[in-house]
Amino acid sequence: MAITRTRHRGRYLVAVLLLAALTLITLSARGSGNGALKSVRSGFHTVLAPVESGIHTGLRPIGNFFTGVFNYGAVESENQRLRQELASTQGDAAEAQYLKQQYQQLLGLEHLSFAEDAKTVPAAIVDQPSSNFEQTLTIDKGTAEGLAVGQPVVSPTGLAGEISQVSRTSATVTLVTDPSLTPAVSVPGSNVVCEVTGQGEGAPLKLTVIPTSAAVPRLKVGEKVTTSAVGGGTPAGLPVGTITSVDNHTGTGTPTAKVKPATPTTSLSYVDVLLWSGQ
Amino acid sequence: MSALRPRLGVAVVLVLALVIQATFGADLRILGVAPDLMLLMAISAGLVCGPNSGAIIGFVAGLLADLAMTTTPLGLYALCWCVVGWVVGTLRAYVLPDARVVRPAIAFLATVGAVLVFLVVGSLVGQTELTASGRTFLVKVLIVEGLWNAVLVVPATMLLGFLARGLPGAVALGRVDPVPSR
Repeated sequence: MAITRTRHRGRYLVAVLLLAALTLITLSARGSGNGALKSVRSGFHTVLAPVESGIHTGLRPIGNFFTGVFNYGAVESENQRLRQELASTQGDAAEAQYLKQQYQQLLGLEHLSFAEDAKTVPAAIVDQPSSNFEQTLTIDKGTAEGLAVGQPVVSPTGLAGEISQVSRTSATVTLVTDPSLTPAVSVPGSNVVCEVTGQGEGAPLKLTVIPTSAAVPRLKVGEKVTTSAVGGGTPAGLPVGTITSVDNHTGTGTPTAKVKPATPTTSLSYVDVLLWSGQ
Repeated sequence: MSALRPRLGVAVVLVLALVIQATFGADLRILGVAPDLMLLMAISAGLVCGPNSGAIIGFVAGLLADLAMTTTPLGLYALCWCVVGWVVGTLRAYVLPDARVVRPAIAFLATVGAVLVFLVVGSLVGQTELTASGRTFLVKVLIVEGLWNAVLVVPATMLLGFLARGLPGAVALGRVDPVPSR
């Protein structure tokens, strides 16, 4: 009797939890863009971002400390000492290379070859994507610096993504490789608007021509794809990538292509946020 | 009062798991696939605490994962991981053996099932981009994430088993003793 009652209670409990989750999904889907749930998420990110950044920064000295402990006072053979020196030199060289890379990224952001007139906010990346189903980055700038949802984020080589969530001191950037981001793009020599869709980390973007009454363009391998001002999501002319393969004979009659992203999203340390209001 | 301490302990572990996931998830990628510690918590809770506590812990773990995400609707992970916690807990209570050696196999299969449930439910609520990364990547996610959880389920269930002493579900499974009343 008691077992039956427990089972019934368990079923009610699961039913209540499922109902609560479905309610949250519905409210979340209906209030996309703003709303109370968006604020809750934003607040959660505000709390989580400094923790992530702090742990990342905090663990670096610990690693260095242990390296020092292992080496301290050890009586080692000449060979080991030389090996350590070599390893240390290689470590220094690697660090110098890393710093040089970061310096070049910052320098590149200072002198963007595109969007020269746009006001930009440089930001450091404090966290890389931790989920298998979201290609996002966390940056260390937020509404305090004028950032807002929807603003394009660029690297020295082109479009990196778009601000999808922002708090006072941090923001989440959805990368171009994320399937949920579909910026409007254009190809040279054609007025037809296309869109690119991310296919996940390391995979090429998928370019699709948006069907209109205009003549369908013939896509070519090697062509540069840039953002289009259609829809107002991004300023026109930001490099998105290069076409690497084309399928001009799909069943739908509209060609598709694979595009290598202009921004290597996995090796970014800094980005620029364009304070674009969508004119 | 006696159940407060295990609940607090489990809550702390869930928050810790979230912080580790958010901070080191990207660094722990194998073949581009990161582990999913919140799913691991849901599966471990089902194994250690039974269906009811498994559902609750799975729901909370999913809700925390939801809050850390951006593009998926809030509640999607909560819904899926709640179901996973409950199903694993129910199977553990009535079907599965209580042997530590089979836990990795259970964790692997549960992870594969859970990710498939997540993709199906996600598609049903309009998140078609979840499957846009292609079949190869999804298969890779199923296998690598399954292997991650198969390895991590042993320490995770030991930790949860220790902390969940006194939770009614855990006591009912007969694996852990109730907290002695004072």
